Amino acid sequence: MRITRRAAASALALPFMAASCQRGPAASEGGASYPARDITFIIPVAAGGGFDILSRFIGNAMEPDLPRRVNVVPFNVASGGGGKGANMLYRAAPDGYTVGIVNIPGIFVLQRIRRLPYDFSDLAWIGTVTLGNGYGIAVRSKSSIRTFDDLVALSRRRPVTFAATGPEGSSHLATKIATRALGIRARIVSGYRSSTDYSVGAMRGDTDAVIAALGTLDRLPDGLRVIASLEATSDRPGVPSAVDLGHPELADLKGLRAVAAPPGTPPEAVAVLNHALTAAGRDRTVRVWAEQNDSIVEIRSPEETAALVRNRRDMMANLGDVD
Amino acid sequence: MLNDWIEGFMSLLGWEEVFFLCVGMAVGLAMGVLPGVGGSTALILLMPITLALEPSEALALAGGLFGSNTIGGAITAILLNTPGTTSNAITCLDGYPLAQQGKAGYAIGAAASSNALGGLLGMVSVLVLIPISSSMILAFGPPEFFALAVVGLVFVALTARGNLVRALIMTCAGAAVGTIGYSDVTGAERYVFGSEYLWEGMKLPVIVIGLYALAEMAHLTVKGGTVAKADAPRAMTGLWDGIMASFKYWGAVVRGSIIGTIVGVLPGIGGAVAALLSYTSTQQADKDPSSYGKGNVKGVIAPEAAMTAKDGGMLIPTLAFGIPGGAEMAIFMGILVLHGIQPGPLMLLNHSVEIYSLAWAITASCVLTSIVGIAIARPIASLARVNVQLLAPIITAIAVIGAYAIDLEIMNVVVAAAFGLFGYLLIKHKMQRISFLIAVLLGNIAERNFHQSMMMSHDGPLIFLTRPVCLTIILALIAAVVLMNLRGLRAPRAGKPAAVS
Repeated sequence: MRITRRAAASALALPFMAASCQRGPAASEGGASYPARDITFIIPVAAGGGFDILSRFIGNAMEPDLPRRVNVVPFNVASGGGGKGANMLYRAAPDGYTVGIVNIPGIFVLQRIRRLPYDFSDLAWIGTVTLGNGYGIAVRSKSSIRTFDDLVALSRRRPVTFAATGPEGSSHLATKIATRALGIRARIVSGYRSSTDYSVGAMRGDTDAVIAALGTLDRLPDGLRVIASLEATSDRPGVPSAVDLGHPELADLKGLRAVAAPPGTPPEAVAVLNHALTAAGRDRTVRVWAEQNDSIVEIRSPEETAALVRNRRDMMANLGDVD
Repeated sequence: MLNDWIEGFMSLLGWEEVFFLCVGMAVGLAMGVLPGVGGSTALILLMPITLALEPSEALALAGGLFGSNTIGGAITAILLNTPGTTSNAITCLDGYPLAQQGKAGYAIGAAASSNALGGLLGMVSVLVLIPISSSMILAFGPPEFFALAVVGLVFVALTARGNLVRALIMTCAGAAVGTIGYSDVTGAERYVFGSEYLWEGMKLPVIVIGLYALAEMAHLTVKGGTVAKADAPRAMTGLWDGIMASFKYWGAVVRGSIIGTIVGVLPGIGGAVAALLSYTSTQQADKDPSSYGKGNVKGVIAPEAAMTAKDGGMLIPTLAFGIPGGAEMAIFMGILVLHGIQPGPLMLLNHSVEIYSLAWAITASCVLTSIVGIAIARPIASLARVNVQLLAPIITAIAVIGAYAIDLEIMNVVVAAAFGLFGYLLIKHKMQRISFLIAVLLGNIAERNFHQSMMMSHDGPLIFLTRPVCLTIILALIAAVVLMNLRGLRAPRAGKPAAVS
């Protein structure tokens, strides 16, 4: 039994975090005395899932490398499909005491669906945390579709059904982009709750196929067969890669998770936080967890992160008539 | 398997595990008593603490909490017509009339013993079902879930014997409220009015707090007096009779446990539906169905057994595929991941001891909190004799705090207050709140799965008739409705049906 100071603070401080997120701008924050108090770490999903746990580990691992011993206190804001947390982060005081982790391109999908009057790419980017697994196309093991060519042939006869989350989810978006690029007529059966949920849906035969992260598909080896990898290269025998399919750009479909602060956060505070985040990326607990959960921890600089984020935003903007 | 089963039990016997099991039980019981605040909220609050614990301690804590929630919620449902959790709303139907007749002890005793038995039977069922769990889950896709939701909606109408038109009105209203928010199937926004809060839809625990806790307190305040009627016997009697009632009416316990386990196995259906199906099937199988809603103890036993049996069933989808069986299980899966255990089929191979340890913790918690429930029944039942002018402000304050605590959202309080007013009007006009509540839940499930079924079949409605499991559910429903009506025509009514609320 090891009740740590951070664990106790997390448990006890939760109700007070909302108030701290709504403070007005503070003067002379981000200077040499930064951080002088606890930092709120907004997690835009409910407590308990993989995203939440990764975020907690990261926040925890950032603490030792901050110039002063303060807590990075997780604050779950689950409403609105992640939109409420992102909104709260965007509107918080830019003083370096509120940061948050966001899912990309998820927040840009929300921005688009909800017609938000601001651009999330204006956030002060602290660094990437994970680069997601590449996507793959899979069919159920018993399916008569054996290869990618079979799938294309089926789509010439009728629309191919794909299982996915709702229109606000990354998998839905990935399915739309990939099927359009690959010339597959698709009908998306949406509304599944999670990647496991829609993968099991395809395994059950709800749909002809599914486009999901390869790590998720590999966890159901008895029920699903991968027929195409949307990564740049494929080490699966007989399974073509995105390059083989003539669409190397599909390798960029993979999502990323990044830590950000409200727009206007002082660069000094961003630099301090990036230093702590970089150290957290080397933390053994974070590494082990990522390995077990098919995530690739890769902390990039604020500038590189901003460039990656813009790339994903532009990919969304180019979607045009996909809706 | 037997070795792992025994090892799972042994792993719970360390003093630290026993301590955390007790902590989980205490928190679960307390949270269960708070109106609307279920196990998932309690688990979220405790989750940061589990970061610092060993896996066996975290499992003991979670298991303690899982198993203890229901009895806490049943006690307030019986005494105050205010369910602690959404599922306990069904217990109000007969539990509260029993309390009004001065038989609160009888009802609490029955709830406690059926809880314990349901938990035990549910866990045994899970052990039996584990080998066929994958096949069960793969047999239920969107068309089957749609058919099940329709069964639930028909059954909720059946709870309102003699009040069918009112029940239908409330069911339609509930289904309409269930559509509020962003639809993650179609991408449509309905009745959102630009509000971030409404975008996510109505939260069931908030509705329960308003519809039951706040409405009931308003009603009692206007009425005055005490919960127990003035002419009800004053002595706290019947506790032992209540405990034994679960053994006497063992059929209701077994039926409830089977229904609870099966519903638990199906992800996303939830304890309220398990309780409803168990209640209605027990009512329909009874020689005197018209006695339900007036204080029939089987109306307490059947839903309570189903609710605890469901907890065991919820383990199955987590084990088979890593899909959470319900909100609590989703958070529990997070705790597993936190401790390096990846939920899914490999769990049974690599972490079977931990799984059985959790199963034991849930069962132990179920049984032990039922004993605690019986022990505190006497003092707690005296609440039914406290003047409501004293009781109502306290319960109202707790309910308001509970609404906020669900996800620290102040709008919850406003929405709960609105549903409180709505609930009060429903009580005044003898409309069925339970029909409304279940329709909010099932309307949503039915709509989502109907849409998905249509998309799966390229808009061909025959999908509901060409899948064997779906067709079986539909035929069973038709047969049940026909048989009930034939029975109703043959048997003269025993009396005027009760207006359940």
